[in-house]
Amino acid sequence: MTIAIPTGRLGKQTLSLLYEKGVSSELIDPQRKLIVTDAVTTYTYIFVKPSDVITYVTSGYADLGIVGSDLIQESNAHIYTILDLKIGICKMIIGSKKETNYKHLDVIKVATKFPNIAKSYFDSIQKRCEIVYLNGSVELAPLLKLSDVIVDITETGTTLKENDLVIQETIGEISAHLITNPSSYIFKQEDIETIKHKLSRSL
Amino acid sequence: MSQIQTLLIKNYKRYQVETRFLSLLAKEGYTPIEPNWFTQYNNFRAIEHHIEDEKLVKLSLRDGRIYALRPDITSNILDTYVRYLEDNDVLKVSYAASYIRQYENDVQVKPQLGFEAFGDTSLSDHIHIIKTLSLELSKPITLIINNPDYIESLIATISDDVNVQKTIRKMIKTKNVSALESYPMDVTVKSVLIEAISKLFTINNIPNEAKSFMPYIQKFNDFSVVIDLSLMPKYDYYNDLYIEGYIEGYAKAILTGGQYDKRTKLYGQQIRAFGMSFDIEILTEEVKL
Repeated sequence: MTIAIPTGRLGKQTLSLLYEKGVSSELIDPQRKLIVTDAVTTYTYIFVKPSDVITYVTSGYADLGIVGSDLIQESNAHIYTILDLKIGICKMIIGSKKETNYKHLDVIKVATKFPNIAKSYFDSIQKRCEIVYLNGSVELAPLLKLSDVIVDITETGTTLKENDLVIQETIGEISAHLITNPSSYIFKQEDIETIKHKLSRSL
Repeated sequence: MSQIQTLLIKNYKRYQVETRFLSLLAKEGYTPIEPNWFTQYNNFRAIEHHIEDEKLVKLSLRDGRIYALRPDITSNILDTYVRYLEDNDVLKVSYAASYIRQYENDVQVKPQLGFEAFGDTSLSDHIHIIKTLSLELSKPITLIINNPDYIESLIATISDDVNVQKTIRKMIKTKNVSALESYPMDVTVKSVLIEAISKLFTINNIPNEAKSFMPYIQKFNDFSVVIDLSLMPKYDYYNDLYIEGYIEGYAKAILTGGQYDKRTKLYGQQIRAFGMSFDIEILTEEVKL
């Protein structure tokens, strides 16, 4: 059983959770290793960029993965989202300068790292939008008038405030989920259910 | 072994696999065909909407006509052959061919091997073909089976709004129980949906309501079968039966397809249609020669 763990803060929270719930036999500290095998459970952990977790799971190089629901919603991958781990909690929001009244615009210019989520949201409220895809520092876009609003994730809203932006609307709650691919779910169902069961205890 | 030798050996094995499968299908009455390379874009678009425009490879002729480079195999067969079927005609064809897709700055050639049957053909015959072909594999195949109409009938009771239905469909497809739990809907429908998608069923333990949508399920007794009520095809033209086949060691399905009668209506027919296609790359690795 191979499990893809995201690097960074979510990865640390995930490793603590796996140990607390008895999935890993010890608190794994990968240091600089990219692959670590738990000698007791024989589960192998691979450490990958958060945005690559879905790729490793859909291609079958990992049976399970831990990834934020923002990336799951953004992807159209054939994966199963089998458990909400209730860690890495944040919000998907629409942010803009305080004075921007975007709901009255005919076409809303939206800067985002999440084009599919943004498009799908504005479609659902029947508003036309033009997506400006950015890889980072999305907050800059409304300040330079590259966009009217941003669609982004935020935990506390501090970065928005520091850049004189406000949260206009929350369009979804985000948290980390346990994912698998259909093939692993069929052929390793027992192991996957065991891990899911351990992780779901008193979540 | 050099890289070029490895490549040539792989290509030769693929040729052998394709020849073997097409020959087995010919013995069962399936005529091999070569789908057209070019499809008139406007005609295609007037009928088919399941492939995004930016994924088509389009060619513009000097006189302004636009063609799409083999956007898909089934629509090709429907347009070239099925449109001309007359009462009681039965058409059985097989193919080893590629369709073409454009991704970002890349064009990909997607090879497929498959069979399609139109008209008054029986599911038992199709199952027999799947069995015959799967016996050529070095590993056993597990079929995931569903009738997507069951889940669609539940979704229809939740809302008429297409966007709401799309959201719920995505939660179901990804088995996202926690998202369904927090979504506002009738509690009875919600509990039926959650029960349906959070488990895999066997032929003998499907919930009765779902079983009534799959009266044919016992016919699959010879296979290793899993019934996954959340299994929904990528495209919405399937009715009554949708199948994916997996073998251990591969995340991708080796086999996909099912019944798609309603798609024939788009080509002026109202007949039974059944088709399955194999992933040639996995076949090339896993067929015993």
